[in-house]
Amino acid sequence: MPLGLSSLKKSIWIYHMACSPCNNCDIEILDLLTPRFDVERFGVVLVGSVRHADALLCTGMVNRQIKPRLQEAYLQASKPCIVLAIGSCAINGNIFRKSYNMAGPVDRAIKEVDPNAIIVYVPGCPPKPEAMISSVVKAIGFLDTLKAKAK
Amino acid sequence: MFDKPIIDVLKEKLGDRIKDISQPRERRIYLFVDGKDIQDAARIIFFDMKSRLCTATAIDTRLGVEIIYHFFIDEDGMMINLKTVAPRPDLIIKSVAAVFVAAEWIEREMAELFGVTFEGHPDPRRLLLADDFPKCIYPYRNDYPQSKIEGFEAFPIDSPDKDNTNDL
Amino acid sequence: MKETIIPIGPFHPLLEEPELFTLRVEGETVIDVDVKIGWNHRGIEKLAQGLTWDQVPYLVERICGICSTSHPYACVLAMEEILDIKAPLRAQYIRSTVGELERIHSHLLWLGLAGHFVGYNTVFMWAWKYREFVLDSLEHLTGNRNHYAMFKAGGVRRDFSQKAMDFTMKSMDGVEKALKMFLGVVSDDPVLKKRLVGVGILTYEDAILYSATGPTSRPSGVDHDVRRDEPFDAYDKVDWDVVVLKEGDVFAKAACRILECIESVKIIRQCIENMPEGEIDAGVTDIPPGEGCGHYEAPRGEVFHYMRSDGTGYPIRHKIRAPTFNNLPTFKATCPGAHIADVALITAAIDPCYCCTERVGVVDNTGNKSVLTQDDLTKLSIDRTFAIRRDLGKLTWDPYSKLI
Ligand code: SF4
Repeated sequence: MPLGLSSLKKSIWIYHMACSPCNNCDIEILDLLTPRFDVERFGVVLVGSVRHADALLCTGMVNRQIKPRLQEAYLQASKPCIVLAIGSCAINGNIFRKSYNMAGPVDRAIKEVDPNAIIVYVPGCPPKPEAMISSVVKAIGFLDTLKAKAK
Repeated sequence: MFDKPIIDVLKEKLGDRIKDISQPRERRIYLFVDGKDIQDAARIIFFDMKSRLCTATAIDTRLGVEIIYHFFIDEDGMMINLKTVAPRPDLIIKSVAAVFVAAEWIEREMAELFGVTFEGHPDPRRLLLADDFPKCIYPYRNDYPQSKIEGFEAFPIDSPDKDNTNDL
Repeated sequence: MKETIIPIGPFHPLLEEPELFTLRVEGETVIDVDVKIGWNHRGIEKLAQGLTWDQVPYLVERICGICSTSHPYACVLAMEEILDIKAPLRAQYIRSTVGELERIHSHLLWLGLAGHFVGYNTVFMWAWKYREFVLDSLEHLTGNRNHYAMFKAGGVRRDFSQKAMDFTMKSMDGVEKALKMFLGVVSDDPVLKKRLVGVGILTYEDAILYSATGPTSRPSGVDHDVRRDEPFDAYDKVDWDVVVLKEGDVFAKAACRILECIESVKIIRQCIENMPEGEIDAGVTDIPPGEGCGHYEAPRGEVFHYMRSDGTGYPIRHKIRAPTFNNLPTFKATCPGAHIADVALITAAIDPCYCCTERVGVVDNTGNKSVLTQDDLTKLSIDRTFAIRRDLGKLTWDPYSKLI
């Protein structure tokens, strides 16, 4: 899908999903929109519906209750769609990984419904806003390689 | 607010319903009442002594589930910890939420995490756990990791999974 | 009139924890509201029982990113009660400074989102812009923007450097100026007044009955503040006031938060000016058997921790109660009778989660379905603001030509 990929590169629309995080990753994501970091200058916009999104920003350790909702939301997103697992929680569960309510980190939950999903990992607790910006840039670079492959 | 020490006020108001009372620190009172008196005691401390319910704690002990209601009197800066025990094996106790609404959520939480039944609770639904969490598993009981139930992984992340390279 | 059920949530596009509200409405008036929580349940109390006393503050820090000082604060107070010691004087001042800086950043965060909700995106951007200065100070003082890892039983882990304290003093000047400006904006603007005054009133009686705490109950006339009622650390050594207002509506809650920030600036200045020299750690090695309660006035209300020790390296029970657990049920008292467009605002005023308003499905009795999204609800809210503004004769242009 070269057309989808090339248009995706221009302006990434993101949708933010909090899958039982501690909230800190989430406020750092919001920080991105405000005057200090202002990601809108790169064309990154936070949208209100998952159906408009090109990238899902998932934070948190994904508990049993939120997991089906996360999977449902991922399936509703228009493809191609990048998943950014933001924070250590989303990558491996962080300090919560032994919890009885843990239902697997973000990548496992997503790969259960789509084994080919593109997942970008942004480590840190919380990651700095700069790290998040750089991860989006890297994801765009990754799309380039995908595009080359598709040709 | 009171013209004598709060511990004396408590003794006077609750009388012989108090099984044990102590004041280990300047601003903490611990008192113990029987399960049948818990509603009365809570009513007197909350309404008559104008305190605020901080929260309630449940602890799984040998005798049963110990329940501590923490009240704080703002004017005097005094915390009153009202203890009682829901005895084994059936873990039934009278609901304080029937007396004042502030205890409603915390009792719902204790009911689902410890399996205590609160008699007369106005709204005994689940609060925190997922809808598909097995009904007979109470994660905060001391025997939790041993409860092996068909189709339920206690710690899903610890299961060996070769695909997930992120597992530490 | 026909009765409609509106589920709100659990995912919402802007911020914070997912929560599911179910509103029962008649026409545009809310008659009942129910909340389902648990989307964020991580079993922290159970996890704490498997960690050593030294590790527990790190865990409770990760309960909430915005209250990442308040939870460890209450937790170490509980531990110190079991130990029956007090932190050294310098550590006490350091703790209070970090706690108050956190209060400012949390309240500014709230103010910004509340502004967003009534259609004042300018307030959103400005509040978050000034919040960055507070975060910068925190980064200078503690080493991180959030999750400071400063607290341990019997002291703090890091000392403040003189350079960082000077920087904080300087940035407080800017923050105070900004806060005064926000106070002016909120109290002078006729539109904001019309939009916020009299909305979502929490009466004194209800606040008592629900045991609400913090900036949810103080604007309703409940005069309490843990920092004053049970003095600890630097709070009885500096001069500050508890902000108590009478009205109990959203406007009072906003004003209360801004006034509290100004008090916080006062506390921080005094703490840094009078920062004593000396030790920062009492050198705790083990925790004896016993039980202790610790509470601290977090930005949203009272945080409560109860810990019990049996003399081993691990707590045998650690109970945590966050302020929202007591504040959230007050919806039942404030929402009935309100306009749908105000619900987002009333939820915002308690400061648990503002915008649980994505994916709103309206199902009426005949079975017809229509779907309201977050945008629709925000639009409703913005519409209402502009309708008021138009009534006041201040607006001649169409808001949507520029805004959306
Ligand atoms: S990675 Fe850290 S900051 Fe992010 S949600 Fe997890 S605990 Fe919070």
